[in-house]
Amino acid sequence: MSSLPRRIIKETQRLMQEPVPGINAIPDENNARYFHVIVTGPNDSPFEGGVFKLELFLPEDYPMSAPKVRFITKIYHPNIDRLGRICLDVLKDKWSPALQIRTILLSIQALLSAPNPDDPLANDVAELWKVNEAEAIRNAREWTQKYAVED
Amino acid sequence: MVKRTDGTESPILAEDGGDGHDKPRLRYGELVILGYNGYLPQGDRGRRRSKFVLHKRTEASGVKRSKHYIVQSPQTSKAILDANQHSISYTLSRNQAVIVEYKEDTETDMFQVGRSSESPIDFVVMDTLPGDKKDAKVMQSTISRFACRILVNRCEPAKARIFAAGFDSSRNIFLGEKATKWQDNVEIDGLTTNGVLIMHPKGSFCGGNAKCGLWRECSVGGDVFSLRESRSAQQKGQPIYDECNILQDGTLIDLCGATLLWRSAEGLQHSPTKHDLEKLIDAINAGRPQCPVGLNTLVIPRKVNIGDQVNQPYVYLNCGHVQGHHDWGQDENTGARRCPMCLELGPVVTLCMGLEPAFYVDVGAPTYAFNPCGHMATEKTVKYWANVEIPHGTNGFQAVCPFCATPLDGATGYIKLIFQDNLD
Repeated sequence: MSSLPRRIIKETQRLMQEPVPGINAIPDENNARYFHVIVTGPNDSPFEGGVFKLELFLPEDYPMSAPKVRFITKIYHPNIDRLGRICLDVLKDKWSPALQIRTILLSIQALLSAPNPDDPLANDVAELWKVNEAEAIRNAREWTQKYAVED
Repeated sequence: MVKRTDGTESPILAEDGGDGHDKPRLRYGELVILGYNGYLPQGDRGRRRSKFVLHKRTEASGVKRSKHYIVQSPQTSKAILDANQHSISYTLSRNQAVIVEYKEDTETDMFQVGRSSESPIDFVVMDTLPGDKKDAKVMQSTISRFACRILVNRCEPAKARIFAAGFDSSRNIFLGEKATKWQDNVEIDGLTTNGVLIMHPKGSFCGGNAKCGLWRECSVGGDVFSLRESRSAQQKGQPIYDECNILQDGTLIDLCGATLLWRSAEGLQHSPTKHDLEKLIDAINAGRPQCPVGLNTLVIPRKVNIGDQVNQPYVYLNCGHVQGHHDWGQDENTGARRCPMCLELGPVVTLCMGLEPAFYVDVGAPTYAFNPCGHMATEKTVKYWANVEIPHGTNGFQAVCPFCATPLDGATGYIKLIFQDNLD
């Protein structure tokens, strides 16, 4: 395989040495561009107590283009669809190479605290979030208990 | 005093012959050409350099006005033919000229500036080209071969006076029939073809609180006038009686093609040294400024090092963010780039340190840079020069970076630098 860019090496080292609270990102044993990620649900959110698995992949031209990030754990969220794809501006048109793995994961964690039903990826979830927020939050909490909490 | 033994004696010998064994000579001041960052691109050599230090001469070298008279044919007059006699010849018509003889003055030292490489010129000054055009050939020089002379009082070094025109190898100055000249009741005076312009700063250059003064013209006899309509117009300007030709710290001298900065000995004592500037660079580099894209440590070079791309810092000129080299955000049409830090779109330029200490109005961290060339200096230094108008063309003015003579861009002409520090 081609040699790993210095930036990725440095980012990986820093993630190991200075973990972000509530976030765990470990490079795959066989592919240094593929990260196994765990994001804990933020306190005071319906995802509290949940442990969400994600996968993160750094494309060939990273950091000139954004990492690919997807939820593996099922999650009831208006900006995350059933396949785990995430609707987040810094992963798309607002990407900048000054952002890093850690800042992207922090943005995703922040998205769990502040869902944005006006920019949906899961339309049905977003619709419920707008017309009956209490029920939507209850659903999110149930999904968290069902899929994101180890029994 | 001892008279010179022959006309071939070079006044430069005392300067160039000096070595470490000589006792330190009193420094009157420095003349520094705007547009060079510590030295000429091809290297300083002999009398052709970016900066000339005026030292007290071992023996007085100044001259002062003696007598004047009218002659029919100046070329054959005794004063002109005498190679040891300093004289100025003012041609009034085909058959009439006024010759002013000059005699030695034990109270002053004389220094001459011009484009000529002949021995009477102490400081050889060629036309300055802006920015990266330094290698281009000058079509036709506009600097006089014997542009001006400076006489410094040996006992009062703060009194350094500038005069238009310099004496040639035969110790003569000729003002031809077409040159602007006039005669009041007592004295005759004149202007050189393209003029010697001076600008005294209002306030103290050191400290950075001075403002740009008005540009004036200095005559052959040392009087001060307002500017002519254009650089070589026939009609002279109005006499300015409340200004004089004594150089003060920070005075600019424009020779039409090059602008010189005068730094007095006293002013230089309050200015940084080259060593101070190098320590400032080391201090920035010790903070390990980071490229937020490559996550590599940037290094501000002491010299422009074209080879080392990875660690070379660049600044986005619309926002001030400092980064290393990368290709993200390039606009294919305009060549502008989007800053990864703030997504502002604009030009990008290499950052480099302003290394000529004479241009600094204060000492401190180089937190600002000129737009668009990227030379870094202190905030007060950058803001000072961004408000100094330098003569340009026959009657225009423009602010330029003193370190490379690039005309300044943008609303202010400068940018505040934003570093990412200590990310390691």
